[in-house]
Amino acid sequence: MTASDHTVHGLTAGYAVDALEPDERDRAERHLRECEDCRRDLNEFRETTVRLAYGVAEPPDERVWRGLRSAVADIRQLPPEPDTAGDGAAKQGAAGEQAASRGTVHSLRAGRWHSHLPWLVAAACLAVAITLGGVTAWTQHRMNELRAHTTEVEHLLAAADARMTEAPVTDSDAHATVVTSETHDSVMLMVKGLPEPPEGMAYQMWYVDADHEMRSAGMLKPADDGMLTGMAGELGTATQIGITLEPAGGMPEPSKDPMKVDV
Amino acid sequence: MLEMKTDVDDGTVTWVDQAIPAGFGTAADQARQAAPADDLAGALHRTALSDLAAFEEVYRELSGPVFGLVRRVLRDHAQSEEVTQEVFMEVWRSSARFDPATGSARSWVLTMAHRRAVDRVRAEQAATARSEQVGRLDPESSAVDDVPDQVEHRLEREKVRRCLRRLTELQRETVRLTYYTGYTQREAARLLGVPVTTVKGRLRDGLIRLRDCLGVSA
Repeated sequence: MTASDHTVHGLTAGYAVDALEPDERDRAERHLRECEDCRRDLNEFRETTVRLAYGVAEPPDERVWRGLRSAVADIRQLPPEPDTAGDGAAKQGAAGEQAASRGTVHSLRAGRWHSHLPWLVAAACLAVAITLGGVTAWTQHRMNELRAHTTEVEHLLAAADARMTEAPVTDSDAHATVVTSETHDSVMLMVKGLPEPPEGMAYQMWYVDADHEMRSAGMLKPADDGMLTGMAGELGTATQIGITLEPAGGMPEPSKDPMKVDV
Repeated sequence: MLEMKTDVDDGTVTWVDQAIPAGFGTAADQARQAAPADDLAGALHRTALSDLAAFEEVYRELSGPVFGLVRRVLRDHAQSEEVTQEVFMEVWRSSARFDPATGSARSWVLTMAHRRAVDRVRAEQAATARSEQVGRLDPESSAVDDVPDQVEHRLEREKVRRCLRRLTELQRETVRLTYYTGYTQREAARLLGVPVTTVKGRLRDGLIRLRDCLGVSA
């Protein structure tokens, strides 16, 4: 055993209690894939910490369960994992290469996306806070909306071919972050720098195809920090997303030539 | 352990306590441990098929340990409820991804819970505020002491407390500051005023001793 092997073996206990620094965590994960003894150690340490958790068990208030029971009905469940961790890494690598060929693109590492998108976490937390805070018809509706949105976003971001681009919005000072996935046929847009819409008005998104056909892609909604966000499926062959200011309920066709973002 | 839920007053608990030797797990011990674990894996499997009753089974068994653990790390009651809810939403969402070959169902859920709680505190950089509440290095303060005495899981708590007491002080402190408080080994070393390598060694030794004392077999 080399000195560096020894150092890596020594990470198992720290890994089991989540006490590693981020770089150590990555090293430990790589090593655990190779080292069967370490995986056995890890399992035993984790079963030990299970007991430590039982040692501090404390039942939460019943409202936690009530919130969950009404919440999960709207949460789509993931299918079984088709590939091993190794395969996943290979896939992510492939997605990265594909992405790199498209210019200003960042590959998204599954599981790390929240570091890029703190507002999503905020949305998820808000959904939970609302769940805990008593349920009126309105909060229930808003909660479902948020949760559905967050779940869709999570799926989009977890897609192996998810890619993120930063692009300016034409005819404005705004810029947009665009996440697309062909397998999911969907797009998420985060726009910063657009003026706040006047009362009763809102920004609507339009898919723009190569032949300049436009179809509605839903409304942009205000998020934290003056940011606007939108999520839409049926991306199809759209090459751009247009944005126009419309009455709050949206229009069947854009009332003027939209500002545009490349996707 | 599911057995710990039995009514304390009817005498069956005494039987349970005697049946669990303080040292290594016996075959009988392991068999009794295996039963609820398998039930739970089965309930998770049914949860993956959108079975709400099965999901409730998982919740009833694990919400106490999840909430208790998250609360040790986060301290804040409301935040701990939020994180508990997030953990079980994640359990619901990804139950099809649980693989019994890689560990028990309890371990899968509690690993998720600990990771989430720790990620939350680290993201918030709340270490300064929290460290005042940790009560570090008080020789009598092991994290289990400040848990309200509940009937449920009482024996398990006593056993854990007993086993923690058998550690050296430094082993106990590293386990407490990392697992129950959510510090990294580096942060724990700084707090304890010892080199990181010492913390790593004591943590490992401490977990091994606890594993043996609690009769854990993976």
